[in-house]
Amino acid sequence: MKKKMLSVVLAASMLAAAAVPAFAEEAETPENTVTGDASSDDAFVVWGWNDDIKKILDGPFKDAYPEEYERIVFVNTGGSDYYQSKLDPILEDPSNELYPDMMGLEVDYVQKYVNSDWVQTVADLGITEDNYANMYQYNIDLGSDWDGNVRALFWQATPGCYAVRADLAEKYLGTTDPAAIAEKFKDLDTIVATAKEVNEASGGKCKLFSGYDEIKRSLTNSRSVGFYDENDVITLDENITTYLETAKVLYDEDLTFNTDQWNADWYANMDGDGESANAALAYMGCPWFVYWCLSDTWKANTILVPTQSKSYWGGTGLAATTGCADTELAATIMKYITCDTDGMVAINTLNADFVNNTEAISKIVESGASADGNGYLYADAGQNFMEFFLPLADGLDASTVTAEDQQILSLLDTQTKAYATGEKDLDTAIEDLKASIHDTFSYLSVE
Amino acid sequence: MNKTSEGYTRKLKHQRIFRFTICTVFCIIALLPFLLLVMNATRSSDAIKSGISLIPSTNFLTNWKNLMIKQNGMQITLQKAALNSLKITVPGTALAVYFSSLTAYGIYVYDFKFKKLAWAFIMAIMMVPSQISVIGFYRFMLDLGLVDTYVPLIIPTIASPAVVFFMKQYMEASLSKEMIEAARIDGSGEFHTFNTIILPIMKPAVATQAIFQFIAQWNNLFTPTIMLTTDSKKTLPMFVQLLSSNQFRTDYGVVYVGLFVTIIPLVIVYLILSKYIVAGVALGGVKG
Amino acid sequence: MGKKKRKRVNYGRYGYFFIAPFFITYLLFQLWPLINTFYYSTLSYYKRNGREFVSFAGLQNFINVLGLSAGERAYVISYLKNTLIMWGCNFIPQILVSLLLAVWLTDQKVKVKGTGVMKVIVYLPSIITAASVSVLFKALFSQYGPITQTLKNWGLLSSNFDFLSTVAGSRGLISLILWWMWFGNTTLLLISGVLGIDPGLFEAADIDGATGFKKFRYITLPLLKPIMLYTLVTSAIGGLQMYDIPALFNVPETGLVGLPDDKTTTMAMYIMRLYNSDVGKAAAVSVILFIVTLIVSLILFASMRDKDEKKIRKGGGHA
Repeated sequence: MKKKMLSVVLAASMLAAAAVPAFAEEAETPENTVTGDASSDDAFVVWGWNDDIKKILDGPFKDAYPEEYERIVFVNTGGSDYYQSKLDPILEDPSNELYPDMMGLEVDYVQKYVNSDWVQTVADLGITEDNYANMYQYNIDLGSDWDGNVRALFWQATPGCYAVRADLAEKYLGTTDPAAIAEKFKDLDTIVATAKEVNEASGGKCKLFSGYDEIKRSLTNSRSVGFYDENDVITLDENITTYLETAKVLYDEDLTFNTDQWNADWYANMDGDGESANAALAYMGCPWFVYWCLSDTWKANTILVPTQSKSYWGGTGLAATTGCADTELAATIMKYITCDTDGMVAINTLNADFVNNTEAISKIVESGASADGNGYLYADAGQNFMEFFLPLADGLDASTVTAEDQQILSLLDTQTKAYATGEKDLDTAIEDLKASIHDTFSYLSVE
Repeated sequence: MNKTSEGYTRKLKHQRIFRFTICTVFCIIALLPFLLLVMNATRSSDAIKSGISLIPSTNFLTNWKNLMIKQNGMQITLQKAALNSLKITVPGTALAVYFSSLTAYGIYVYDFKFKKLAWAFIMAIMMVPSQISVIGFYRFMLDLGLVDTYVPLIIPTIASPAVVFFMKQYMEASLSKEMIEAARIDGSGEFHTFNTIILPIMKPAVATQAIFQFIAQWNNLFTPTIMLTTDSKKTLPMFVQLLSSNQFRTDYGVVYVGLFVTIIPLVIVYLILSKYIVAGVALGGVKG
Repeated sequence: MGKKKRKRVNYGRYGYFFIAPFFITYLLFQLWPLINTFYYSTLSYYKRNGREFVSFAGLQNFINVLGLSAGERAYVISYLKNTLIMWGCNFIPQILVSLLLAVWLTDQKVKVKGTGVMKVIVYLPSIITAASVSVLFKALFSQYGPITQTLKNWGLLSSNFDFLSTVAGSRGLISLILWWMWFGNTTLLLISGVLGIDPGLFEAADIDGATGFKKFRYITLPLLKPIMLYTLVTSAIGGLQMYDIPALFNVPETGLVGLPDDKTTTMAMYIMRLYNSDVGKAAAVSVILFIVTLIVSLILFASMRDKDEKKIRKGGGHA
């Protein structure tokens, strides 16, 4: 009897398993992430961990350089976390068909690559200081090696902000006035108070942030010391301690949903109504975050306020590899999408990004383009997307960024969670963080 | 000897029901995760988050479509990963079973000087796991230029001590040396004898070991993770690792449907072959 | 086993031909890498910004990973501890449940119905890809996962509870997965052990009027000892190499740190974390793992040395 039932269940699932792939073939043929023909002789391979670069190449660059565009092969590895482990082996193997001629490098590890033997200086490509005279200085610092040679160029500036959902702000903070809301984010104590206010007003269904790590970037990316000094001794900025302490308060008082950034629940909290489904009122943001990450619920529903201290978040550098097959094309691409004013205005037209070129920014502001932040800004608040970020982009400092930031920040997450949930005290967490940094990078020492 | 006191029979009956219940509970525990997997694969992401349910829903195809859409941004897809796993597992299994039989036969049939030593050696290394030499293995493959190829995942299966052990046990129980002698008289060469006479006789043992080898290699995650770097070459367990990454985790329905496709075919194959597998476990089973 | 000495000596050399592929492959792909691993463990060999830095370090790697010099932590010891705790919490209930099921499913007097189907069902989890099982359990038990949510709906957990952010929850779930995957395998092994016991012993005990428990205590248990020992040791060796399940269960995307607080990181995860960035240290950890495994294996051989070889064949390795 039992056996019979089992075989019925089996037969059913077998049918399902057999039928499903057949169905899939019709519906969707998954496109390979390598776009273009890598085996052709003049292929120019560009690597990225998402299709951000690709969209720019497909749009503005194609319009300006249609012939060159045809040669570009784009490799999308999908996800920044695995990017380095995929990139490093292939950089050792220039004969590989997919060896990058050019690649995107994120702020958290760009320093590793510009200080390696893998990438060329932009001077060798024929890009002069005049070409990038209009860039924000912090981005130039990020792309320079320890000797001051510029090796990677960025097309965007990434001043930090909090993106606030207007409908929830109205409901639980009683205002949609940007100035009044900014007042509620002016410092960490106020942020904690605001978190309590939202929590109480909503009966816990709406929280200020999805997770306590929402304040992380505003603190780690406004540090005044890096994770180690010139003698490779591990140093921790006081912002790190502040982050740990504030995270604990937010955890202890149950002021967030304790999600981790980028996970499913973190995304889900973007769309809740704050009554029947959990919702987060604000997310750490920046220009690319608005057009790249916010869900449709935030369309015409977003108010921006500055982070409590001036910070930046992310950014992608472009660099040409030492084995780059066509430095001329590399220079053309880099000039057009990171230096050229027209090119950068075109990028802004594409995605409303805050580009890394002060001249282009002035033109954009003047023309009134991207004022509504790709349709995300809440019209009644009267904010202008570009003008909002203009003062925030000035005077950013990225001198504390190191080659190891991505992994160290991940180790920081581990310790933050352990401290916040009460596994250990603050001193132990700090000690453990240092020890784990040393364990991961044995050349960095604990005093 | 017929104890028919009524009380005794009733006690026995109660005992039978009691034990049956407990055993059934453990069977349910063994099956429950599969059941939840199947049900969740048919539900929407929001429904899954609301709690467990044993009633199927109608979202299976939607979830599957979403999985296909998510895969769009990737060099490796579920289908390709499964194909890659087959490319490694089929030759790997064949090599393991064939050469293990060969080795066992060599030791069982022939008398040579180092026979005892060779057997002792095989016994000794049977327990040595491959993880401990992986650093040297990786560097060695790097020197040979074999990293990111399937060679280091297939060729080493030629030396599978546990399979040799099993094969020799089987030969001792069921292979008469007279038969080999007869073949020699007929003029059959030694390798010819092995391939055409011995292997067919060994079929039951070969089949059992092939199943276990296939399962073990199919499920392997550690070595492929170290050896393969190019996305398009990744195996199914490596794809599963991607399923748990943020790229997919945004939609639970997609995660479950992905897991469904990696797990349920194995379950089906198992149930078809369960007779051989369950019998095989008792004789020296899988290494996991 | 009475092997007849063959008169025609020239056949002997075929033995070498037949076993050559095995031994060549083994020497090349296992033994030589193992020797190399020992060699690498004496080097300071790490990468920084894509460049390799190599120098001779003697035993420094071992001193460092064992936390014997200033500023170094004994991560190897913590990870060994993690591994053993998670393995132990799975093994003890595993052997108990398996023993119970094995005895009940083979009892000729109290015949339980459907034993054949039951054997098939309980073994099912152990053939499934561990990676998939790990991801499945993670999805079911995550903070807002269906099982957690249901327990919350029933009021058994507070609304912000998260298994994965507590050490006990995270380790406990990994042990649960291991137990779930392997109790069926152990049950089948023990069943074959029980069936190997001479039925006459039980009959004699019945005549003497022994109770079910007494038969278990004085016949089954002592005679199952070798196979239970075998199960223990193979499981321990497998457990020491534990990788797939903790590596996919609760780790951040950027690296193999077993959350929370590094408390579910195993030795194999540590090796995997370092294999490319710090070859020397990874090799030293491998050597330590090798030594620990060797000690466990030696205990096996010492305790089984006198036993009949045939007993061994009743076993099967697993985690």
